[in-house]
Amino acid sequence: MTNSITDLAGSECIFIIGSNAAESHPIIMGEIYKAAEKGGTIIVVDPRRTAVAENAHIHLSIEPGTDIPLLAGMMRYIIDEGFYDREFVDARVDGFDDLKEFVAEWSVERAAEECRIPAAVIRNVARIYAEAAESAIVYCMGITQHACGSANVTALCDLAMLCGHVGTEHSGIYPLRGQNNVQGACDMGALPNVYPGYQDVSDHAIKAKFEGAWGRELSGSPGLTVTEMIRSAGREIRGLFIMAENPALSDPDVTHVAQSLASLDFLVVQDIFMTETAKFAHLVLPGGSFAEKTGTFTNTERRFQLVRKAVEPPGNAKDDFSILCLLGTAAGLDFSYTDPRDVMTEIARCAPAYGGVTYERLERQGLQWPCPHEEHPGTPYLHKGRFTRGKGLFVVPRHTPPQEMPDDEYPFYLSTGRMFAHYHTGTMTRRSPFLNRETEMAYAEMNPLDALGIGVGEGDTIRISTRRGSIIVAVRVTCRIASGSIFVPFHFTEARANVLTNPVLDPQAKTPEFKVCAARLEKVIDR
Amino acid sequence: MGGIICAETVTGIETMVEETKKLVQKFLAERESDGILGLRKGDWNIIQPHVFTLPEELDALVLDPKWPFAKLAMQILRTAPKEYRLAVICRGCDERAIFELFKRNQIEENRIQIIGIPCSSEQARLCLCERPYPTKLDVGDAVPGVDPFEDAGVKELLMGDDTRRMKRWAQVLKRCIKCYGCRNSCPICVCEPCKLENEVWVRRGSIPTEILSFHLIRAFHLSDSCVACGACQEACPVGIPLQSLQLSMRRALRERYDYIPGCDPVKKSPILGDFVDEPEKDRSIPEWVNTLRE
Amino acid sequence: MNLVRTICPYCGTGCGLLLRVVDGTAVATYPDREHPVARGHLCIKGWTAHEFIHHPDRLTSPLVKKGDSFKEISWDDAIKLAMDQLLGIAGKYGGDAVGGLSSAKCTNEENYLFQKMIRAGFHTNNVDHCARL
Repeated sequence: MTNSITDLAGSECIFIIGSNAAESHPIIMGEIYKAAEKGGTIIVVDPRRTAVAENAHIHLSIEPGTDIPLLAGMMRYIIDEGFYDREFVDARVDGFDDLKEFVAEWSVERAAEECRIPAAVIRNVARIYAEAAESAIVYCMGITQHACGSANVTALCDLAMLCGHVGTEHSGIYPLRGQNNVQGACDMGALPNVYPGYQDVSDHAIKAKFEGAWGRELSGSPGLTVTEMIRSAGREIRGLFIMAENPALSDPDVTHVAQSLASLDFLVVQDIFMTETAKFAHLVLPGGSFAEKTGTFTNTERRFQLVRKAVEPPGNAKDDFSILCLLGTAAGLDFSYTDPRDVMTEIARCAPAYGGVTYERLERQGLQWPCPHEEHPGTPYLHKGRFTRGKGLFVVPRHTPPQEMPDDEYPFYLSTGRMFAHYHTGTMTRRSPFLNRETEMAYAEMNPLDALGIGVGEGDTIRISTRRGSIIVAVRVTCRIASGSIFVPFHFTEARANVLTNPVLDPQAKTPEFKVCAARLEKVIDR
Repeated sequence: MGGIICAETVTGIETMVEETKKLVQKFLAERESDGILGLRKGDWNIIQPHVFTLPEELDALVLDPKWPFAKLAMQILRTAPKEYRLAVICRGCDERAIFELFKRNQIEENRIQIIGIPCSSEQARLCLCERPYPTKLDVGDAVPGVDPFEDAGVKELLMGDDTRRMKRWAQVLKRCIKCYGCRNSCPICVCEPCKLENEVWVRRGSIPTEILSFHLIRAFHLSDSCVACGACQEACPVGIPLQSLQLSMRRALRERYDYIPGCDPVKKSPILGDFVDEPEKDRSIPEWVNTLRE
Repeated sequence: MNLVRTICPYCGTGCGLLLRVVDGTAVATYPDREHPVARGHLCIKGWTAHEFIHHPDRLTSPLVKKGDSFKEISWDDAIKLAMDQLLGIAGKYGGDAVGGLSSAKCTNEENYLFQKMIRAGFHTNNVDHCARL
C-alpha cells in the first residue's frame, strides 16, 4: 500500500471497493471509522451488503465484475466537469490523452447500465471522491480476483492520479494484504520473475550480481506461477516443494489440483498440520508455527516487524529456518547461517530497498521500506513529489466481463471469500476452539427470494453445482446478498468452495477469477 | 462519595516512581509476596507488564501508561502454586476490580497485596474517572475525580433527544466486529460459561452481533459491579463508547444506594446483595422480595 | 510471568501480540498497547492466536509415505530423501522440472532462504507463493 494504515483516520473520503475489511481486516476498519467520526465520507462498492457496506455513508451494490465500467464512468464525469487535479496531472502524469480517449466510450449512463447503479449516484460518488481534500482508495480481493484483476487495479490507480490523491499523508491506494507475510514473501523474491527487492531475473546485470552473491549459476528466464506449476504438475513439473501452503484447498477447481498433485514424481510438503495438500506428499516435514520462530513479517503497509520465539516446536518438529538450513546445505549450498539475523544481514546487502533494515532497528516499532541505508528513517508513504518511474503514467484499463456468466443452466452468480472468525483454508482457525465454535460448518449466503424459489429455509441443505463440480452446504438466508447471487466462504474442507470456482486467470497477474462464476442450486432432501 | 480529595498532585512522577521502587524493594526484602506485578520499561524502551522478583530489576520499573492489571493478576494466580502470593501496583480502578473479584471468590484475599498509586489529573480526564485513586494510597497524592456527565461526548450519548441518541447508539454499536475484546479485557467479566457464548442470546457466525443481546447483556451483567476502569472501551478496535453504557447505572447506584462498586472489599451490591442484612437508608425491603421466600 | 512480544499470524495488518507463556506453553494472548498500528486492539482471531499452537494434530516428526499411509523417519533420512529426489529430478529432466511454493505464512528470512534454495540449488525460477489466492 502506498500509505500507512493509521493515515486512513485522517482521510476526508475513503473509497472502499471489493474489500470486506470489517471481517477480513477488522483493525484497519477501526481506522476507517475514525475517519468517519471526524466527518469523512465512507463509500463502499460491493455486490454484497457486507458489514462494511452496512456502516458506510454510501453503498453501491454493483453488478459483479463491472468495476471498470463504474470507474471509467466516474473518471469520464470527473474529467467532463473539470473536477480533476489539472496541476497534478500536468506536472506528474503522462498519458492523459489516452485516458481521455478511453473514457470517451464510457458515458455515465452507459456505466450506470452496466453496473446497475443509478447515474446520479455515480456522479455523486465521483464528485465526493474528486473534491475531497485527501481521498484514499481501499481495495482487496474483490478487485484482483477477476479475469481483469490487473486492469481493475490500473483503473483505480488512474482514478487516484487523475484526482491527485496520491503522494500525500491521507490519500493513496490501500491494497489490503490478506496474509501476515504475503507482502514479505513478495519482497523476498518468492515470485517467479524477481529476486529479493523486485529485481528482475531476466536482467543480466542483476542476475550476475546474485550469481556472485550466491556462488551459483542462475536461470535467466522467469519461472512459472503457482497456478501454472500446479497445472503442469506431472508433465513439465516433476518435483514440487511446498512450504506452508495449501493449494489443495485454496486454488481454483481443486478437483484438478488434486489430480495434479497426485501425478508428481516427488512432492515434499513442510507444514505444521497434516493439510489437505500434505496428504498428497511423498515426504512431510514438520515445521514451526509463528510462536516457535524468530524472524520478521512485513505487514501490508511495508512494515518489517520482529517475530519473537515464545515456545519450542512440538516433538521433533523444527522451525522452518532450521529446516531450510539443513536442506540448503544438503543441496550443496553455503547455508551456514547460525541465526535468522544473519539472513537479514544478507537480505539488506543484496536488496537496496531494505539496505537499512537491522533487527536492532526493528525492536521497537518496526520499519517501513523503502529504507535504503541505516540512517534512513523508513517510508510511511510513497510517491511524495515523484513516482518511482519519474512521472506517473495513465494506463488504459480494458474491460473484460467475467469469463463465465449466469445462463439458463447455471443461473446464479457465485462468489467466494472469507468470514470473520475463520482464515483462509482453516488449517489454524478450525483448530482454535473459540473460533471454530463461531462457525463449525460450511454455508452459503442466499437471498430470501432465491431461498423461497427453491423452497429452502435457514439451515436447510442445498447442492451447489458449477461446471467444475458440486458441494453440499447449509443455507444462510440473508438480505446481505442480492437475489441471483450466492456467497460461499472457502474455509471448510468438508465442503470445498474451490471445487466450484473457475480456474480462468487474469492474463497478467495470473490471479484466478474467484469472485464470479455461474452456479446452479438444488434443495437436498434429508433422508 | 467520601474518600480523599486533595489539590492537584504535588508529588512529581519521578518521585512517585522512586517511592514505589522503595516500597517494592521492601516487599521483596521482607518476602511479603513472591512477586510484584507492575510495568517494566525493557530493552528498546518497550513497556509491558512484568512480575518483579529481584531487586536489580527495579531500575526498569515505570508507572505509566495506564495498563489494567486486575484480570492479569487473577490469571497469574490461577496458574501459580496455591501458596504463591502476588502484590500488584494498583491504580484506583485496579483496586476496585480486585475488591470485586474478592467478592466473587475469584481471588483469595490472602494471596494478593495492593500497592496503591494515584492517577494524574490528565489520566483522570482521559478516563472520565470519578475516583482516580485507590482507597489504600501508598505513594503520591490523590487528585479529584471528574464528573463524566460533564463530558460533551457522554452528553451526546446519554442526554437529550431520545431519537437522536438511539440513532447514535445504533450507529456505533452496529460497528461491532465481535472480537470479544471488551469481555476479554474486563476485569469483572469472569462468568463461566459466559452468556455471550450462549446461542440463546448471541447468534454464532455473523457480524455485527445482536446489539441488544450482546452489548446489553454485558451492560446489565456489570451494572452493579463495573469499576469504570475503561478497559473495555480501550480494547474496542472500532471505538464503541462502551464505558458510557455503564454510566447511568453507576450514577443510579450511587445516588439511590450510596454504593460504588469496588470501593469496599466486603460490602456487597445492594441489588444482588442480602437485603435483610443491609437495608438501605430510608428504604424498606421491596414487597416482591418476600414472594421469593415462599 | 513470561510475556513474549510478537506479531499476529493471521491477516496482513500485522497487529502486535503479547503471548503469555507458562511452563513452555502459550496460554493466553493479550493485545500490545505499544504496537504502532494496533495500539492495543485485536480482532477475534488475534485474541485466540495461542489456541492452535499446541493442538494435538501438530506434526511432530518427518513422515514418509509408504503405500497409503505415512511412517515416521529421522530428520537425517528425511533431508537426504528430499534432496536426493529433487536433485535427481533436476538432473534427469532439467532444473525447470522442479518447483517450489514458498509461503505467505513464513518469515522474510525463511522466504529468502527458500527462493535462494530453489534458484541456486536447482537452476530454476519456478518459485512462487499464494499472493494471488
